[in-house]
Amino acid sequence: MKLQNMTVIFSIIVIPITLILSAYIGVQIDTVMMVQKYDTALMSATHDAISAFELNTINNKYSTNADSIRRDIKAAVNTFSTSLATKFGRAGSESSSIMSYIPALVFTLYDGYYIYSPHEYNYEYNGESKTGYEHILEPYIQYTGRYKTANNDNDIVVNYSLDNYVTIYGYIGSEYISYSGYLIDTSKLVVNGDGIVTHYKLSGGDNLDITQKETLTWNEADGNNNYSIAQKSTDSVQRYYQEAYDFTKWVNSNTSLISTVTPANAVRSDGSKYDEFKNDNTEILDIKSSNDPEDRASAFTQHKREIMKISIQDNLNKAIKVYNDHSPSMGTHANFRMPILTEDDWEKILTNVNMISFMEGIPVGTKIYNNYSIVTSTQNKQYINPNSIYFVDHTTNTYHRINCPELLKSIQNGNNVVGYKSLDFRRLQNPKDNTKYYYKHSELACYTCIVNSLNEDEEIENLSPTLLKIYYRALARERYDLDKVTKMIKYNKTDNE
Amino acid sequence: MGDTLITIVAIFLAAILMFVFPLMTISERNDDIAQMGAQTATVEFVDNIRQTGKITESSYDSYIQTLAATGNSYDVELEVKVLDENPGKKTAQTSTDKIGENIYYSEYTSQILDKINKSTTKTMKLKEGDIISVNVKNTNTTIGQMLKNFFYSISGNDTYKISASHSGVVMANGSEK
Repeated sequence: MKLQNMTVIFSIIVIPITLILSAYIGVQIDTVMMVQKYDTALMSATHDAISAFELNTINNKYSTNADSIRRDIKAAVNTFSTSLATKFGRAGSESSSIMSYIPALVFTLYDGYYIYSPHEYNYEYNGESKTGYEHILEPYIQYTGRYKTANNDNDIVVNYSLDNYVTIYGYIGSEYISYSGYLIDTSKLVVNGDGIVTHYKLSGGDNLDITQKETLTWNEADGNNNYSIAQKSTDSVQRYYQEAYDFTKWVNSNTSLISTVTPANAVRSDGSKYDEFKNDNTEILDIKSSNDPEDRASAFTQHKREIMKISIQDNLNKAIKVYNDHSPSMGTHANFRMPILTEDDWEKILTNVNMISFMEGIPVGTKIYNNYSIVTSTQNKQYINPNSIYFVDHTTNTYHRINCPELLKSIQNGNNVVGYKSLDFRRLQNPKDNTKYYYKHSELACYTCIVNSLNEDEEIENLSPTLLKIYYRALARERYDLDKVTKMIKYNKTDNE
Repeated sequence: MGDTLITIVAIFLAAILMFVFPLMTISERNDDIAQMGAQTATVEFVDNIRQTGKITESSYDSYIQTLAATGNSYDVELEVKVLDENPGKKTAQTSTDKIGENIYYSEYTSQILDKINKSTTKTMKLKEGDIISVNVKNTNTTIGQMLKNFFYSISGNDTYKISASHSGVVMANGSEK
């Protein structure tokens, strides 16, 4: 009977171990699967929010207006919470409860960003006072660098943007200055004796004649469902280069401004210096061909990206601290740590309009969920991405990307080609009858480069001069026609005296 | 005589209890882990494509390698549904209740891999609005399946034990860096 005894003992020991082990593995698997499901849900909800944002801004004439954009962002937040709640099976009246797991939502726009996060509220109504925590959309924070010289003589603020547009204001000694404009490498411009810009030098050695006016063509809808073709002749290209030239010349002539705006002089809002920029005396506003603001490797761009990154990090940390301190009052309890954003993520944030969403505190299996998601918006009225300009061939009635072989053929055939921002090709609501839609450009998408994306990468600088000409023309016009929230007219106290 | 019979039955029972039962549960868990691995890798692969708008050779290779690391062989099916908005534009005006404006056409594994191989950048780019879906099934017989077939053989179409699938709308234009 010894064998039977041993068998029984062996089974008593081994079977529970196997069962417990398999149950444990089962729980772990469930946790991983659940985390993954939540990741996808968060990403999809963020995407839904961005889609809502795009749809609203496209059909909102005033979306670059500060108040109007807040409305669009609030609508996007609403879409986010509804979408997320639906994915968690909490749709309906419960949908706002999901927001207590959201420490912050960040909308990075053209020259600044919005943070949507919980704040303390305190109000009195009919003698009754109430306090609590609620998510609010914080005021717009601009990508701003403030520069002070050691003796506080000069105090300059520079607002940066995703491209080469900046706004500068502040004091040089006792003199107040302010001006906005595009910084441009002036060695690329051909200027005549009267200071008028006539040509833009292209990389192939060819010149773009910017004095030539362009004719733009698009469809316009009226209330009776009739669509007429509208045309306009514009000189935005010349205005863009001329104003950029004047602005850059103004910056470059102001030596004390250039010597003030260095990373070492940058101060935080509390007046302390940045640890990151110690002893870095590069004059970042000294614009020349070795410091071309449109070049990614230039000192200007590098510093701008650092300032933008630090600003987002600081303000996000503050928002998350508030969330952490008061999460129990919102119904969750967790010590939230901000996930570290990867370099790829920063690359997205610093080059485009994005939405970043953080979600945290939901118990999943053996863990507590903590992750974030970043979704880029490519079609909005905030920013002209140099890679999202489509070129309409009015002869064949199609539109293309700049590196499309079909486009090159049309140009060689002498067809009339004009570039427009990709946003113009989206379906729009009829402004007079909102049950109807129309296309501003009813040309068809090219099957080589747009319906099917071209798989080859081509640097824009390596394109043929004819293509470069229409490309830079379209880019300059679209940039000039973009409405900016911060636009300061030139003010020089000594100038005006 | 009766004692011997009981001993033989006991030995059989003991063998089943001592070896086969633990082996079966563990091998089933093993399949579950492989399943989880396949599902995780698939979701990561697809979500990465959705976020970047690109299917690259390197991401596809590392996906296949992750799958192979589970110790099984797999049949991977990719499908891209390419969105064609042109049919909707052919009418001068469109109303909100009109359906069927957008047409999708599909490309499958061999076409996708062919495109990736032919391009100099070893990439297939997608655009916003396209749909990517990936399905994987194991093609070998796992130990779990073998034991199961041995004890209670279920014959039929269910020849795979591990399967994973994920799909979604592409959220970024691959052509925009």
